[in-house]
Amino acid sequence: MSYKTFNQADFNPFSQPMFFGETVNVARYDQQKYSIFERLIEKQLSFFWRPEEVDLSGDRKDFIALPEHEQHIFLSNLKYQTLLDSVQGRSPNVALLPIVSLPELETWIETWAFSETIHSRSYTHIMRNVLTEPGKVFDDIVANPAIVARATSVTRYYDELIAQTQRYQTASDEWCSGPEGKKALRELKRALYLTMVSVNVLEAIRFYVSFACSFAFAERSKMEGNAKIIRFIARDEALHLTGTQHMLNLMAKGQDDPEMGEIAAEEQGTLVQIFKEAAEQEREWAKYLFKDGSMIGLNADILGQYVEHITDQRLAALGQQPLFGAPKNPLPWMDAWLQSDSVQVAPQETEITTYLVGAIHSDVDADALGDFEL
Amino acid sequence: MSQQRSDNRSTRKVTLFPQRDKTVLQQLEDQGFQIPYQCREGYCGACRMTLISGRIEEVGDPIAFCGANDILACSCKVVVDATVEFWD
Ligand code: FES
Ligand SMILES: [Fe+2]
Ligand SMILES: [Fe+2]
Repeated sequence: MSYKTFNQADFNPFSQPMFFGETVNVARYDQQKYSIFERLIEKQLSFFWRPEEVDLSGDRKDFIALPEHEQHIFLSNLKYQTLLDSVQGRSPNVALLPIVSLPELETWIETWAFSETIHSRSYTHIMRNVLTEPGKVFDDIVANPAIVARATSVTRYYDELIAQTQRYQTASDEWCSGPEGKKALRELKRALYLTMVSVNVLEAIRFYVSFACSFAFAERSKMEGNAKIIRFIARDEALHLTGTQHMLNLMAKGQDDPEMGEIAAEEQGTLVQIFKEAAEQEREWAKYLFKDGSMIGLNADILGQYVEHITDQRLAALGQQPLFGAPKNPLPWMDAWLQSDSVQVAPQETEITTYLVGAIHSDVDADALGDFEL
Repeated sequence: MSQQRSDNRSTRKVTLFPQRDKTVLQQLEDQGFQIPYQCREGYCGACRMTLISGRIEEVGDPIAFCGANDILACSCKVVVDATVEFWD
């Protein structure tokens, strides 16, 4: 049952399920089965930003002055973010576009993935500004065992879904409508559901852990241009995780596709397991980040607690019980950095007094301060 | 008023009264509660909490996912005395 770029079958385009119905033909948004996706598109478009607009000239000086173990934390975190957005910039398109059946959802997927390409471009912008040889850092993403291990776990479900879709879409129509084809389709739906869960984990947990590291530097007034970019990214990611939560919920309710509802019920344990494994992997990653020493305000322990906090929060959003006793956020300053109503302003600038302190300091050449520690 | 739901964290139930110019989030903040939020405009879901009783109305066309008994505190106002429950 091969993919059709413009499906010429006669069908009601508004009665299709989200996935595995007819392939989309006319890109029309006059009526929508799920207007939520149209609203997500509008919102994402209103967020449009360009990395080049963020000034990173201060970050280079900051980076050079960082102790070696903090440079390791900063760069490893940036490599991880680069990996995650490399995946997100293409995988929703490759994995989901061949199987999507609603025009508004198709366009949401494309809009979503496009915004991820902006994130990827921003990492190049950051590295070019901060490092003399950004190439080495990029090269290490495929060579460094700690990063490669992360890549395996974030792409596993995507790749499985893509492989199964390719097999299904290259089989004959006859086979697809027979008993084996029906069974294969059910397994394909299962692969889709688990992919959605793992995407939610990627964007709603793994990314937030990396945001914590980025903001921990800015909390100490270091790498603030970087933090500014990460705030734009965080605003986009909040929207993406909302999109995925909607899809997961529509699947679980079973009204969109009853078979998907059954699968969601069958895979409830797997869902929790995926969240649990991700939390463990993120805690392991925290140990790698801080292997040569921690930084003021953040260490492997605190980051591990944040992992547990954010994991339980995301589970609750999907109507699941907490895995770690729903601990409080151990990084109270995270909320201030994540706040997107003031995304153009650094949190400390919202407080007049500290803003003035910052204004005076910014006129002083960083070199003139020498070893002076604030 | 609080109910133990897990080993180290409890939830809190608070009853709010209609207030024209304040969202549920603002009302709770006025009472000194620290409610997590990210966007304050209904798209991130960080302020999601449970509505136990009463009635609220949505403001500002929120798009964050919200379960059947959930509300987005940043994007609703109390219409009829409402009891909400959230992690303390
Ligand atoms: S704070 Fe984002 S939805 Fe309420
Ligand atoms: Fe991204
Ligand atoms: Fe994303």
